[in-house]
Amino acid sequence: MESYTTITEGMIMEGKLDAGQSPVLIAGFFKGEINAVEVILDASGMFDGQINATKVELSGNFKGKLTTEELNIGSTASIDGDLKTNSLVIELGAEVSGTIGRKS
Amino acid sequence: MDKSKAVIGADAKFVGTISNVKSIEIEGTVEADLKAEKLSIGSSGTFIGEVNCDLVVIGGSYDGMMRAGSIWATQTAQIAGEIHYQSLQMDRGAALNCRVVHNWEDQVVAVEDVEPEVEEPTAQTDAEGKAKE
Amino acid sequence: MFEKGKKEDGEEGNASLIDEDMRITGSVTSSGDIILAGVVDGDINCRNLVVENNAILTGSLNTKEAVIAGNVKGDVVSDRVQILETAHFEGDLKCSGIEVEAGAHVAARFNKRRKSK
Repeated sequence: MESYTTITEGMIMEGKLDAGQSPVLIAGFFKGEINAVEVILDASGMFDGQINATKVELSGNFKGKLTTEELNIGSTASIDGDLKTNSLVIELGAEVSGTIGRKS
Repeated sequence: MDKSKAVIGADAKFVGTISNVKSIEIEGTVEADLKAEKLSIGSSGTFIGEVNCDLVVIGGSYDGMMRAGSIWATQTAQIAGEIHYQSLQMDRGAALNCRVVHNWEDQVVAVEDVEPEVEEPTAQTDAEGKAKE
Repeated sequence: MFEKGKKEDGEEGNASLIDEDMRITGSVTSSGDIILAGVVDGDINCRNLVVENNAILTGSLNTKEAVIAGNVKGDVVSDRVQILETAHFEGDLKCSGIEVEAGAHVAARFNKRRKSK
């Protein structure tokens, strides 16, 4: 079982994260670049920057660019950015602003 | 999935700044400066940067300038750089290749103000590093 | 061109059906509901709109609620939009509520919109 990389609520990380196989859970604030297999942005989470991943779940505040295979935008999400994904789910309630297109 | 513990996972590499965290566990590789209450570097962990903490448990690699109230170097610890401590525990096998400085009155400032207890100067362990001049 | 008389709010009217054999070139306006199963080359203005699986719409949409299961290329202004898994959507989206099912093909630009009325 891979250990999660967890950014707890209130925590602030700025920089570049190459998470490898470790899934990333953001309940705090992250600014910068994340390369990961899986990224989960919690309802309390805030992200500003770029994400390259295979699977992304957004329930918090996202600003920036995102490239992924699978994208799931939850009802509590607030999104402003450029999203590229091959599989998209948006739940009612989500606020989305920006562009959505296919990854490949 | 525990979202109350700050962790840098075993496979992860991070370069940047980390702030506003009380307790963090490093299983992967981190290049950053850190000010926190507690830092734990796991056996697979590597931390490079400046550290200011109340309590540090080093089970992996560390290189940099560390100022802490209490440092515990476990048997898998590999420490380079410089460590300033008030209380230091070294397990058998810990590799200290660093400068080791004992601070009497230095107030280690972390997230909250902590009043350190003034300790008797009995050496708890044999420090392999250079002695304080 | 479909044109219905003024309807009271909340009144259940019959939805107009543009069936799969129909092809309309030009704008379509209704104060009621439209079910599109055919092809429309033009804009649609109506209350509730359903774009069925094999339907094709090339033009803009201005609706209260839209359910898209077919092919839509054009801009959408709507309170609520549901894009189902069989949908192919390309265009600008201006809505206050959006739902997208897995499997849907979406290439869109989103603009936030305040809920009208």
